[in-house]
Amino acid sequence: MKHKILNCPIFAVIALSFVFCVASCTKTEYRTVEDPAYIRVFNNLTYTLTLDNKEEAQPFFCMFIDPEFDASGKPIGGKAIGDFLDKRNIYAAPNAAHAGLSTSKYNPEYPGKELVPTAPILNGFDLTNWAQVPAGKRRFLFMARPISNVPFAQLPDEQQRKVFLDTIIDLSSREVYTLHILQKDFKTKENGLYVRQETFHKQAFSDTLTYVNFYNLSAKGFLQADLSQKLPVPGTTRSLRYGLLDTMNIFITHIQPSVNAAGATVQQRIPNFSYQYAGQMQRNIDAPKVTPYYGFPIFLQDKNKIYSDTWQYIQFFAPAIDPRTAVSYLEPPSVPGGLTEPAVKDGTFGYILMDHTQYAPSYYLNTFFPGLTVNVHSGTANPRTFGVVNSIEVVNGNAFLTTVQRKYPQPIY
Amino acid sequence: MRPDILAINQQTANRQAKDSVRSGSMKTLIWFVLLLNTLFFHACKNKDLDLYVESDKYSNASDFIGNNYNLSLFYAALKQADLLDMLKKEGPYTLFAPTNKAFNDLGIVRASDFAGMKQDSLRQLLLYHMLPRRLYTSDVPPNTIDNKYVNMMEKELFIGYKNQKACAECTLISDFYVNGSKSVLATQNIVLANGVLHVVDKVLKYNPTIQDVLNSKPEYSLFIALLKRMGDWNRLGEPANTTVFAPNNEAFEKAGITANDIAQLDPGKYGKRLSRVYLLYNHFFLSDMAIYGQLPGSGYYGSPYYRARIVGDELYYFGISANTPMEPFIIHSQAPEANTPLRISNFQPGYQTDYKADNGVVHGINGLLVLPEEALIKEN
Repeated sequence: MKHKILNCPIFAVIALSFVFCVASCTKTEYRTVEDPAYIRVFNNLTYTLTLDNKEEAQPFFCMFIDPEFDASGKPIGGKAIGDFLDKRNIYAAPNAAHAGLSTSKYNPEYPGKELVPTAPILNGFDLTNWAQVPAGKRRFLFMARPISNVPFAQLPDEQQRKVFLDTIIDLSSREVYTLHILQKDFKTKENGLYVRQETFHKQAFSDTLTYVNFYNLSAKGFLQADLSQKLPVPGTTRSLRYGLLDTMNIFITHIQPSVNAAGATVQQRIPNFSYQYAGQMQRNIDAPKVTPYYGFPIFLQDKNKIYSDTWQYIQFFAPAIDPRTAVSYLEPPSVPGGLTEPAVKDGTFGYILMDHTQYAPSYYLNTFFPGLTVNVHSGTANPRTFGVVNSIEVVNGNAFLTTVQRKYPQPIY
Repeated sequence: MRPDILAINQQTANRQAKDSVRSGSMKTLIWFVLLLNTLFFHACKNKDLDLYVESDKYSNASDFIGNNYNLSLFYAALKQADLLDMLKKEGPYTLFAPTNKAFNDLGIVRASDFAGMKQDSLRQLLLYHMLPRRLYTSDVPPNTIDNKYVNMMEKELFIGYKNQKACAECTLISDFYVNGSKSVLATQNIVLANGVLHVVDKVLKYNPTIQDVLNSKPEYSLFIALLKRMGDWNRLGEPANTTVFAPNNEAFEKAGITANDIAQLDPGKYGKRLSRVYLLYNHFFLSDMAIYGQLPGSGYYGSPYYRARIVGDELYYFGISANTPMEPFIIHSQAPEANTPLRISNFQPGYQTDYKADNGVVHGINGLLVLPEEALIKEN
């Protein structure tokens, strides 16, 4: 009988499948971070090296959190390493835009393309662009490195020793932080790390509105510097190129495209939502603080549609200039031609256009940005417009847009 | 094969197999296992594989230079300075070897010309061309300048590397520069048994200060007089960096200026640009401009390789134009002359430029950029 069972082919198949079954069991170790804080790091240094500033460090970094050093004092590891930290993109998208899509090693932000545990959804906000690091006092070390595809650890020894910034910051548990490498002083070229504890996930935002706040993170003395010193910065946002005054009023005009009788698309401002005062922007790099958010409705297209094609024309004016009465500035959506506008040079006027149809990501730094709302395929609607939370940061003649979105229903095809 | 024959064959085979199992199957099996084992171990022939041997086919630095006709003057110099034995040793060394042409430019045309030189200073000059390590071009970040490496005279060499292929069809530009001397792709990274060698097109020149550089060359006597008269001479002995564009005596003669004229200048009556147009408070070699490229703008003088305000006379710029050959020029910063230079000059030949000192670099130029009458301060 025993003999028979052993010879039975079914028994063999069962035994074999049992063996396979056991062999295929692998234990996946998920990386977890105890007591995490959530960080996102931007490199705001957009300068290129020329003969005049060649003594400055190459603004391309390898970041170490709580670094460890070898016997010769060279950083070799740490709690986290973010190599190839390049200058930031004009637009920091709300989704994990870098994950698995890019063929370049250069990282426009941290975590960006790094495969690290990212933050969870907090109060409905999708924080996949924030990395988890253990809370507490953390040492951040930024090493300047040459721009190349060679990983930091494989660079020649002498190129692994250029310390750019070394600082200790205190991160609280389960708080959201945005870190910026900033130039603090345009004249002395002093640099520093700016750490802002974000509050958007704690605020009572309405999901039918979209929000934006403004920061001026320009270096001390940038506006006052000689115009020729600002020139080598390539392709900077034209209207902000020479900087803005330390205090500026912000006005938002909402533009609605429509089709006229001849079939052409015309851009027109919505009269009741023109020149909306959206608060003041003050230059502040020493005491990081979240500025008030300004909310506005999503202007859905006519009846039964859940998609909006309006965009925002944002103007910055020195206090006391009122765009409703000042006649020397073009009326939105017209764009002033070039830099002939005298006010652009003295920093009393600037503008940016949040028009996604004119935004070109390949054109590095320009006047056009994607809109302040997000249009995506969600549920059966394609597209559907969602209100989001935006921050616009003006840094030494450039403007950068960061968008955070809420979790939304996944698309149904 | 036909199916019936196949069936018969199969039956025969089965019968044979059964027979063999019956007749002492264990024994056969053991023999087979033993045979297999023998074959198995026999296959493991443990031969010493030399995956990497430091090749003894490469020559050492000394032999390589001696066997290279284009480096015969460099070899003669090394021989005169008693450095050949050192270059046979283990090293490692990186050598920046000037070609014979580079020595010819300095007036050295045959090996015997070194005989008259002081052995000690010749030795220093040659050690200045060597690094006590291996440095391949791949060790230097591409498209950078001012990568500093300490040489065997314990001074820093400034190394720049341009590595650019602008498009798929474009030719690869791969120029390696040391203190402004160039090594082209074909003569870079020559592997030696005890190091690496790069052939360069200029002899590297070094003096402790810029004052020493200018004093060592009689053709700059009038320029020195002008700097002294205008009160700019002392800076050139101080540690702060200066890049000097030095007009030679010929340039002064062309403009009809004599030593006597300079001695009688009243510095208070002239704008600072009279002497400072030649001084940049900076440190660069001419090759640095080739690596970094032009500034944004348009036109020869609008998108120059370099432009800087003249210290103490800020309405004027000194610049280096975008045309070939690059021309040093002076320009007024304000319209209507904003894109028309007031005066242009030219560089002296390559071997008269890139004189390195601890506090800067000297480049020879062959024309004046400001004449005294142009720099007179007008009284309103």
